[in-house]
Amino acid sequence: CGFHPAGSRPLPDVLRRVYVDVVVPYRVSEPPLEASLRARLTRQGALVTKEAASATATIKLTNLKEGRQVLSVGPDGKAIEFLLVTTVEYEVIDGGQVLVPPGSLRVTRAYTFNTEQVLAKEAEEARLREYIQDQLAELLLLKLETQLSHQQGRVDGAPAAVVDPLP
Amino acid sequence: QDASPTRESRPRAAERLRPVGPVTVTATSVDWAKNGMMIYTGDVKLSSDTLNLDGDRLELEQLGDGEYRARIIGKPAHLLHSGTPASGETPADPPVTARGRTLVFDSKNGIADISGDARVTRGEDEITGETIHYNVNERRIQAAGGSGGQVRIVIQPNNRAAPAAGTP
Amino acid sequence: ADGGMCTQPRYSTTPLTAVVESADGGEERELDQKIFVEADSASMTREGLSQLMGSVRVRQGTKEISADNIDYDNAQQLITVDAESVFSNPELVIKSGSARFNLNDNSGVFRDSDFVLPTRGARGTSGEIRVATDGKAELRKTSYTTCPINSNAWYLEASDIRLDQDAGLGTARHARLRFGGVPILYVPWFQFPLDDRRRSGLLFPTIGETNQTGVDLRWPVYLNLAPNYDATVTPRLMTRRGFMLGTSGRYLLNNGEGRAQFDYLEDDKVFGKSRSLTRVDHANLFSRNLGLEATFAEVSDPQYFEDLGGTFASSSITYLERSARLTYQSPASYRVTALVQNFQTIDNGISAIDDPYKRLPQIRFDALTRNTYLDTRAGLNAEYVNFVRDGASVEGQRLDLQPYLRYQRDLNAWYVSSQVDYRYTGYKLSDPTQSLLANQQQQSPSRALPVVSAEGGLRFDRITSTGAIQTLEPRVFALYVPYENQDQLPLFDTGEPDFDFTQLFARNRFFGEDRISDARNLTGTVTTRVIDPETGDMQWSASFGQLYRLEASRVALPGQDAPDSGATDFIGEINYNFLSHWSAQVIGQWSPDRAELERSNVALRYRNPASGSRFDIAYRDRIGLLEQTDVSFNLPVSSAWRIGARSRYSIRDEKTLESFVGASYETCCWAISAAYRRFITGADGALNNGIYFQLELKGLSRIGTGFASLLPSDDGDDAATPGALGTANNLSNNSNGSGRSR
Repeated sequence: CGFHPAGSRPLPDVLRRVYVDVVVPYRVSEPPLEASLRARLTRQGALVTKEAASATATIKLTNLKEGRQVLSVGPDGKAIEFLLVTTVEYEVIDGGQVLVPPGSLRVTRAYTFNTEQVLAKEAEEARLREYIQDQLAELLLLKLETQLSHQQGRVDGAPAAVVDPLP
Repeated sequence: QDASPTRESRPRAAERLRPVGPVTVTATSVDWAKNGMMIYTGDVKLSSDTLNLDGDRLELEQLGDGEYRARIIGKPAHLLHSGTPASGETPADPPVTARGRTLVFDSKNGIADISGDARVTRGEDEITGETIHYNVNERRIQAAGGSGGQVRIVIQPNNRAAPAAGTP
Repeated sequence: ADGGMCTQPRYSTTPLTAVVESADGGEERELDQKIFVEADSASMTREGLSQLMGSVRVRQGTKEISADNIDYDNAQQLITVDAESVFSNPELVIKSGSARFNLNDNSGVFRDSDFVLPTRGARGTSGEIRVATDGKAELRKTSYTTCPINSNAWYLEASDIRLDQDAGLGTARHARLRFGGVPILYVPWFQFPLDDRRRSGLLFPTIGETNQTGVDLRWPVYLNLAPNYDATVTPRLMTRRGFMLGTSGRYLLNNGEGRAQFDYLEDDKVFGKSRSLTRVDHANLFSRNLGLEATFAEVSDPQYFEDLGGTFASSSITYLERSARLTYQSPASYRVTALVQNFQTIDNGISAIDDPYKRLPQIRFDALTRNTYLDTRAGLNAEYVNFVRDGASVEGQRLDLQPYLRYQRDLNAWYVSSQVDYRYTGYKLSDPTQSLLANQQQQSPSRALPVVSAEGGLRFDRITSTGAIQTLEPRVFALYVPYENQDQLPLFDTGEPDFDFTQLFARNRFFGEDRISDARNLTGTVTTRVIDPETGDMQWSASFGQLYRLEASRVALPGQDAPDSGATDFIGEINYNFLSHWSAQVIGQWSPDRAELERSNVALRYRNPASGSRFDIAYRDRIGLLEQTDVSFNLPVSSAWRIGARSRYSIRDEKTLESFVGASYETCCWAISAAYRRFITGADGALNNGIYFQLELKGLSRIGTGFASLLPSDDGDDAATPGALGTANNLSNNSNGSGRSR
């Protein structure tokens, strides 16, 4: 039914050497979103550089917000289901030039809550947040790939959607 | 050649402001028109002790008693009325210049009518308009915009009182 | 709703920045002092007195006066107009009946004037306006409003208003505030902002009436204490309960920031005692690699939020966390975190013995080698925790060591990864009540067992007939964990999570280290996504997965039976985005042996960021736990009106858990919003219903610090307490930016 092993669609040139700039105030460790984005870029043959200068594009991620809302309550009015909402704003720039205009992504996930297992639920929430950020990385890369190869398609004149033969 | 009608200076009421003293006119050529009007052409300069006029063509009309009406046309014609130093408590008067395509100066009433892109400066202030009347004796300027146009005045505030820092 | 009607009248005919032609083109500074006059006719006497007649305009720098006739004395640079004239400078435009203005020192007096603050969109009338040389303006017998010319919805009448543009402040004395012609406030002294700088001042009142608190009036005051810290004091008067004072503050250090909140009700007439809420959040960096995150929350009694919380979100809170977490992230490849944490459970349906354990402390060490040998990396997760709990329960210390080897090959078209770890968990238990632990052996139980998992996946993509990019990712996961009896291990932090997609790949059926489920599992999942070729947005995606237990597990939490062998529930999740603003989600968890849906979730969502309209409808069903419908919308119905509502109904209990209706009417100079709310709040299912009003007079308080909208907010955390300050005003810090990009 027309499926090829992934990799037939080349990464847009501008993403070949890319710097990932995540602004997360007061956090020392790398958010899962950044780690997943780095792994996905590397897997597709990109070189994730150490600083923006040596990259042909900078993926700038800001305003990474992880919120939690009460989704459902029990008959006693107490929370029995939470909704995790994670949003991030992205933009791709090269020096002063904007390659992909700013946009934002939102992924949510619901999970039940039980007051007698607060510590276990806290660990479950942490794992779900990690899963959400991995999903954000996947959606973000798909979006950037499409928009950048779209631009590059127009630039090269070759229709972007043509599938190259297997490398 | 230099033809300067001489006029003996009769003591008048000493209006300090009126231009007095001999009036000399220089030009490249002169022509006596029939009605007693003299027409000077070519780099015309009419000067008296406090008032100087210049232009391309001067029609000088003698009005008797030493009074005259000078009509100067130029591209543009100029007028210079020198200033007076301060004396006692009366402040100094800045020199006044005027220019326009046509300058008509009547020595009897002391008014110069400037028209045709008229521009008058008094000290650093400057007035432009269609027609400007400069009363030389009283050093008063009256300007009118003419049909539809407006008078424009640019005043350089003389900084007697130091201007306030900044504007609101 | 910033429509045309919001612009203030323009008195001056020509744009303020006059086109300047000057014969000799003086340079800027000197130009600034020059006075330009235009008139139909002018006469200038020797002493510098000028009479200017006929649509006269006098300009100097950015100031301009225009009138039919103007007398100007050049000696004193004094402009006098005894007829109607319009004076304007960038901050102030005055149409007055008579005017005196000194161009030299920029002072002036204007009588019987209408004035406009163009930068602020404010206007008013004044018997006499005195403009001083330093730019301050004093307006006597004046009225001030930000409403456009055709509406007098509200205005401030004052005997005296001083406008100080440099400080950006307006100060009114003996001010009466009239709304709709009715005086609603008399204030002897009142300051309001003239620009968007952070400024102390009154914010906006929230008036409500609920059965829990009676009439509930809150009027916050914002205190701009310093560039890097500020505070909001919220006096709150409740007729049924008394007077409460809420103070909250924010601070910004050069490498950290935080918020603190303390609400105190001296004497709650219904409750009989004083009540308080304390809340502190703090985060700072000691260095690039060492960071601290701390949070503390405490309420005086479990019913606090039910009685005083006032929102659905706050009254459903069941526990408050207090924790401080220090994280050291070494650039090499390990991370050490130290945490002290305990909780205040405020769900009074919970007996003390079920309170969560305190972790005093928990130390984690997580390391993973950066480089690989034959695509394999070695890692170690180690954790030491000292569990403490009040009441008669087992306490103790636990050490969990998990060294592992992880093999991973991740290419474009496929990936394979497997991990083998040997996990040792040892306890040193203590039993203050000497009743639970009989013999010595139970004093320090331990458990050690290997966990082996392998995972692989293929990645395909294609271009669909419509040109969209479709990805397809089948994945398999195998897990082997031998059985070890763990019945005598305590239960400190372990529980069983929801069985959902993420759980299909879990290496332990439980969360927490007290139980490791034995497993001989095989998991298969497939995920496909279709991406719009133009925008790169996901058009739709679907994921399906199932776990197959080759053998039944034997480890179970007390009181629960372990899952038997065979196929578990089949999990499916479909997301579909259509028509650019709509999105739908269907989640299903099908139990093959019970042939019924363990869990189902159907949701439809509409988001139109341009018009700010939202609509959600969802059905959520989890067998044995909940079956609820949830409908909410927030729609602008006209340029001024906006309505919103939300209703959560429990089909299982046949009860509406929360219903909310709100509306807001907003013009360019004022806004009012009202909300009716009814939600379950007590353990006995008691209903709290209340109605709230908020009035915002734009321009009397800094724009942006209005009020947390009463209408349901779209994302992020629900505001725990109503009236939480809309923090549009961020703190600045003299040192460079506090954000740190890695």
